[in-house]
Amino acid sequence: MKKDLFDSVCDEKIYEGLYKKHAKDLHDFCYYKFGDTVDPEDKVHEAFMKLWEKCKSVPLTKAKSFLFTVINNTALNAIKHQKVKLKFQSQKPKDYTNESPEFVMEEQQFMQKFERALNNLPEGQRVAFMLNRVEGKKHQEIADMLGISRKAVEKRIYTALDKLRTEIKEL
Amino acid sequence: MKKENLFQRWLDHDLSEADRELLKDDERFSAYEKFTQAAQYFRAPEFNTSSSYDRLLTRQQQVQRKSTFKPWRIASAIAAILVLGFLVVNMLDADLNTYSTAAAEKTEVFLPDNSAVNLNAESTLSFNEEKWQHAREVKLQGEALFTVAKGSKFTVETEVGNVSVLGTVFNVVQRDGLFEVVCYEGKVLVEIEGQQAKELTAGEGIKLLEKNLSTFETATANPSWVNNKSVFKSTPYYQILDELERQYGITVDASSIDKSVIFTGSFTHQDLDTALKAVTLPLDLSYQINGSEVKLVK
Repeated sequence: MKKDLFDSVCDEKIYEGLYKKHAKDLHDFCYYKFGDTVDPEDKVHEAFMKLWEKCKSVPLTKAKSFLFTVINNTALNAIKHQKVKLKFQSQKPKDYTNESPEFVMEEQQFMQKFERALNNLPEGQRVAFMLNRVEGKKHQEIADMLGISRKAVEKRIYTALDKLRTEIKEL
Repeated sequence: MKKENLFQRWLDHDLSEADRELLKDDERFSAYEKFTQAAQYFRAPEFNTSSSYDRLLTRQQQVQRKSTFKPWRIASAIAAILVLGFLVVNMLDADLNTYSTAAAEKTEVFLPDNSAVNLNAESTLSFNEEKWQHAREVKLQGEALFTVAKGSKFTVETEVGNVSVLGTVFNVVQRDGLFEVVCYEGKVLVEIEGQQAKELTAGEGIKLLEKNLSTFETATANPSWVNNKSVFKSTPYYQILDELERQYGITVDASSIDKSVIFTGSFTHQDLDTALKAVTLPLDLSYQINGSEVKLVK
């Protein structure tokens, strides 16, 4: 029952477990929020090193939110309001065959519009949208990561989709 | 209302295939699907948790190594301070800071203005720290490479002559019968007793051997001895043997051979056998090693 008391973050096994569990989420969160202008892995390492320093004062139950707060702050310090850009990955996720030139051109135009619209989203909405659509996270999982309510997550994703739609139509 | 609910479940990855059919023809749904596909292109880079964890551990070890103070380190620090203090007190007595190297030893000395001096084997450098502010002057016996920080006039005094600069890199040798200055960067002024002062620019050298003054040019960036090698160009053989003795802390017995032969060549400071071969083979000599004594024979 009081297991919590003994499970200290200072225990290397537990520390490693925390890394295995949260490192990827922290990395993705950092990437979608700040783009690759910050080195996301470096920020993950810094957050975990801070956790190790403070392992005596951070209880295990608070470790996750500690990590997300620290990575957010260190990344903010690093970028100092640089404009975020998610880079277009050159490899295609799907193989299309028999594409007509028109189709290819339309597709390219659409991707350009999409890239602009995506980078224009407020970072909170972009993070929620990308985690949900690309990383396949459920609303509750995102809510836990960001420390906001599930309703707020739903709202962010909806607003993001809506904005993308109107912005792409306008362009 | 029903449709909103379906949308919500779809977005929460909680919609069955059958229910999905209901949304299929919706215009908004197909737009959202397209966004989802497009978003895949912007996926975060691959993240390998376990290799990343290993990198974290190495990083932490590096930080810890920097920050931890082990007791023996403190002890050795105290010992070092005591030794230094002792030396400083000793030197204040003489009013001079003196650095000497023994045979087979090289060292780097930093002067108060951060100018660096690389001291070759069996050489002595001394300077007065108190007067340093007013006059940058060092005394040298032997051989040294100077990398002088920019500032006021910097002078190297030797028994044969003085070398002065404002800030540059140069090598000075003053050993019996030989005085040589090579300038590697900037400009130096060489004043030899009984001779006209001579200005050297980068890549130039001046040599006084047995009262014969000659100038020469060099293409290297620093003297060879800094890279643990001695290079000689048209130098009397006894000078090469002297340098060999200094670099290895040995005595060379060459009484049975002609030591005034002019020699061009080089030897390493790292392996005596290789060095001996390098200097004996060209003259068709052979050698015997007896502890710290080497005998050269025809």
